[in-house]
Amino acid sequence: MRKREFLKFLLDNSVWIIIVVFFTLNAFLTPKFFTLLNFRNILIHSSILGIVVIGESLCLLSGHFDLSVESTLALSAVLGSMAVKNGLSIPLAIGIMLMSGMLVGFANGTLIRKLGLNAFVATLITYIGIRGTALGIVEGKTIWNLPAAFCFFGAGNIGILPVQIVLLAVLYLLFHAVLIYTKFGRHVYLVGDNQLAARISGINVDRVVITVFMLSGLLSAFAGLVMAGRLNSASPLFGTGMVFEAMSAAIIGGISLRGGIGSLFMALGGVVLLSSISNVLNLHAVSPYWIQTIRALMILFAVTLDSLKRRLVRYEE
Amino acid sequence: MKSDGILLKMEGICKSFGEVRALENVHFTLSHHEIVGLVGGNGAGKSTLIKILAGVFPPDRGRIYLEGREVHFKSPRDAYEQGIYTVHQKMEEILAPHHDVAANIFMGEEITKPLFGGLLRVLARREMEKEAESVLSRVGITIDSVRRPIVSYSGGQRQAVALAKALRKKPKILVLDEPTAALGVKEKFQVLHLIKRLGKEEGIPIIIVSHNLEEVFEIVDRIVVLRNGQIVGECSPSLVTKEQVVQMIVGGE
Ligand SMILES: Nc1ncnc2c1ncn2[C@@H]1O[C@H](COP(=O)(O)OP(=O)(O)OP(=O)(O)O)[C@@H](O)[C@H]1O
Ligand SMILES: [Mg+2]
Repeated sequence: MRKREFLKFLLDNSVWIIIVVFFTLNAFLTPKFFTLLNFRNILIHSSILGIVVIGESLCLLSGHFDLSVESTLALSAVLGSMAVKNGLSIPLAIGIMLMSGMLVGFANGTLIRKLGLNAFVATLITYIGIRGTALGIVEGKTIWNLPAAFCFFGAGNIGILPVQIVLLAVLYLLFHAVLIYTKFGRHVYLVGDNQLAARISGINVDRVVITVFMLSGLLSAFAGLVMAGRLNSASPLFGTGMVFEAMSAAIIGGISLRGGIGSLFMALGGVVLLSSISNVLNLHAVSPYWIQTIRALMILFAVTLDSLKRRLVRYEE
Repeated sequence: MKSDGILLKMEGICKSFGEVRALENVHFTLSHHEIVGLVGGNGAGKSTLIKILAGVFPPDRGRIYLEGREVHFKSPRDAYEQGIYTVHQKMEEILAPHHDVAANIFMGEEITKPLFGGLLRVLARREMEKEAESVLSRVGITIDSVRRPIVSYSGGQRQAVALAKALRKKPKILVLDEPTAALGVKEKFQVLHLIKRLGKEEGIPIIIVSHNLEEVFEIVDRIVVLRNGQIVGECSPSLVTKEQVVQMIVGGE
């Protein structure tokens, strides 16, 4: 019994254990890896993806896909940059960005709950449509040279810490607390675990799902602000392909695609692990093209661990 | 069965699923302090009637009156708020498999406590666990821990958890759809004893669906027979034999 519990603990925390092993190995194998400067690089590299993964994880925990995250990110960056370039104040521009994200999320949630579309189909529509809108607004062009204050979230520093790292930490702590300690968080898990049971028990499933998608849109839009700041530009092609990275990170972190299982803290582990792997490949000057292959193997590994974990707690079925 | 004591009245209830007519013009009543047994063959429409009463879906036609006032249940929440607590037949429709027993018993009704002087409210886990344990013991169910996920329990234990969930607060009407189907001999005895106690001693009106005529005859005050979506007979168990009830269930003269 003790052994079983220990094994379950290992499986529950597998990402972070893998990260510890990975870091220890590379401390010896990869020159310049085990330095503060490099850790800083890894975390900065994690920040944008990390913020998107919070939203994606909320959706996955509630039992839904959100494919539209990367398009929302691009639209937000483009809209905000257009706004500041046209003389709007920075707070107003940021307000527009965040609103655009929540609107996309609201559209996703409404398509799913009120029109009865499958989440994959609904967010595929916005994934394509919102990317198209971002491209259309600026006719495919990139906007350069944004005001320094606008770039604060993506390039600023608070003391010695880059704002991006602070944001990553704050947002993860915040959303982790929301998921674990609040009634809303519990309802997200319950809807993902058994939507019918949640409904029969009086949970307002429509409200939970629409809120989750709006939060996902909000976070993606915020990631767009960070990316525009980091690159001091806004391109309608921002974040292309990022949805797959976001899902990979969540799955590697142990969030079940069937909903209801996983934690945000583990998803963060998935993000950090992915960033560390590409960091190491970079330091070894391995062609970045191989990262996809490695990511695929990571996912395979993660889902194998997941099924092992399921078998450990299962009584029947 | 006198009209003055009527607590619940369902009138002219019709429900179809595409081609299937699950209920046709069903009239159903329940009096204060009454235990009614709803019987009928497979597919007779028993669970459908119960789901309508629990607000899972609305009837195509018909009205529901509670204490003489018409009610419209747009969601299960509405029925719950009227004090109609239901244990549905299928466990996979009412329990969250990867959540623990306490989380299931409190699903949708989580207790929160204030934090930072009431600025925020957070889940009161301890309190819910304690209360879950006390509900379980009140119901007479022994479960080793309220912290294990539902998947790790047997079918009978899950049914017990579902029952405890409905009995957390005192119901105005308790609705049980085959509550003993997955239970072992001893557990079945315990649950029947509990139902009798709730109905006879605490005076809670109960609607119970069962295929087991033995237990129906033992606990109910009135039997209602459904066949092909229609009520084909009502009787008091003291005035009829089991054979007569079986005759009504299967039909034919
Ligand atoms: N959600 C649904 N969609 C389509 N048909 C349904 C649905 N629910 C019930 N039915 C149909 O309605 C009829 C009545 O079903 P119901 O579940 O009420 O029967 P029951 O009396 O509870 O039977 P059992 O004793 O097997 O539980 C059946 O023919 C069934 O196939
Ligand atoms: Mg049934």
